[in-house]
Amino acid sequence: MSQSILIVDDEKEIVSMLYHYFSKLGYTVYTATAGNAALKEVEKNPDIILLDVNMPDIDGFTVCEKIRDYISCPIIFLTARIKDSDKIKGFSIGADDYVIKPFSVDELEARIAAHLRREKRRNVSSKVQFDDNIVIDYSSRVVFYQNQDMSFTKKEFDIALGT
Amino acid sequence: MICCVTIFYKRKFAKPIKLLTNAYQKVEANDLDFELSYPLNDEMGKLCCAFEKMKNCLAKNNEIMLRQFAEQRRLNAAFSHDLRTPLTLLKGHASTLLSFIPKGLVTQEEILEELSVMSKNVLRLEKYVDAMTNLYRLEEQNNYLVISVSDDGCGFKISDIGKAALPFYKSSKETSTEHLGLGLNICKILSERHGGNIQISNNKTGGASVTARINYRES
Repeated sequence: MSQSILIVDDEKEIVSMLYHYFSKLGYTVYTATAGNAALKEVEKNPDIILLDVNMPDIDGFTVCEKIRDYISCPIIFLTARIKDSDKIKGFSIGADDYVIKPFSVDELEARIAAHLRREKRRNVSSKVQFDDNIVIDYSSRVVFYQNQDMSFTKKEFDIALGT
Repeated sequence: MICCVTIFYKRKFAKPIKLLTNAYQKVEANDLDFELSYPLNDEMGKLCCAFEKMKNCLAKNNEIMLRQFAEQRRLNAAFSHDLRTPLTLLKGHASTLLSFIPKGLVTQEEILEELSVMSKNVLRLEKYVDAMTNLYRLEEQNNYLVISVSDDGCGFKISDIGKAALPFYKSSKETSTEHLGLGLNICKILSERHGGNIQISNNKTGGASVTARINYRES
């Protein structure tokens, strides 16, 4: 299954350009040209979000702040705001990267791939093998015996971990 | 005799000279925040007064310049910000075409569409360049003192407009013998001497209008 990107920018031409570029690379691309529309598209659970800052209804910083608590995918700001204070604000409200316009699409593609790989590693590394048969996935709280999900309850998982 | 001269010097010159010396040292160090005053109204007093006026002029000019610099910086930042979107589009589309044409991933229709967007954005950038140039010309215009005189009379005859500034030229409409026909000629010469010009025309609402421009920086 292909990975999905949500692109948010009030400039339709930029959205269109990025839509075509990443579609051709095999990504599923969702788009939004305003902050409020973005909040809706986020429900499709994209694997990564490209977010503009200056938008007419609600700005990108506000969108990021609103979704950060329940969306864990990487968020990259794509913006013409160049000041250090803007970058610091972006990172402090939960962005994982901050790219300034004009940018190279090739470089953006490389960054996106890097962020997605990191997400994969993070999900995989929470699994620990104990002997030939037992694997415990700490982040999703699943215990596998001979590769089968044992469907432990919350209490059973806690007992297994001795907590 | 020497005693008299010394006393005269001490009375008349010593104090104001010291005041002036302190003052110019401060100006040299770019500290214009002081007031130079000398109570007596003699020659030295007048000199001190003149120096104080000069210092105030300098301070005012500095303020004007600082404000202009700040304004220019703000303008530059605005232009720089606005140029980023068209540049992003040009960069992105060029990259897309360079990457995907060799791989055969774009149809001819898509190629033409992308090139069309690129052309549009090149035009956009051209508009910005023009705007920046015109703004510069507008600032040049701001160096001119513009004096305009207009009335609500019958206006210039079209055939007269080109010749009105010629010496001794009088319109055939003009019957009075009192006018020598030198007024506009004098205006033309004076404004040109001051790095400017005059413009002779009719108002849209009727009546005549003469506008003189004088370059007040160069003169």
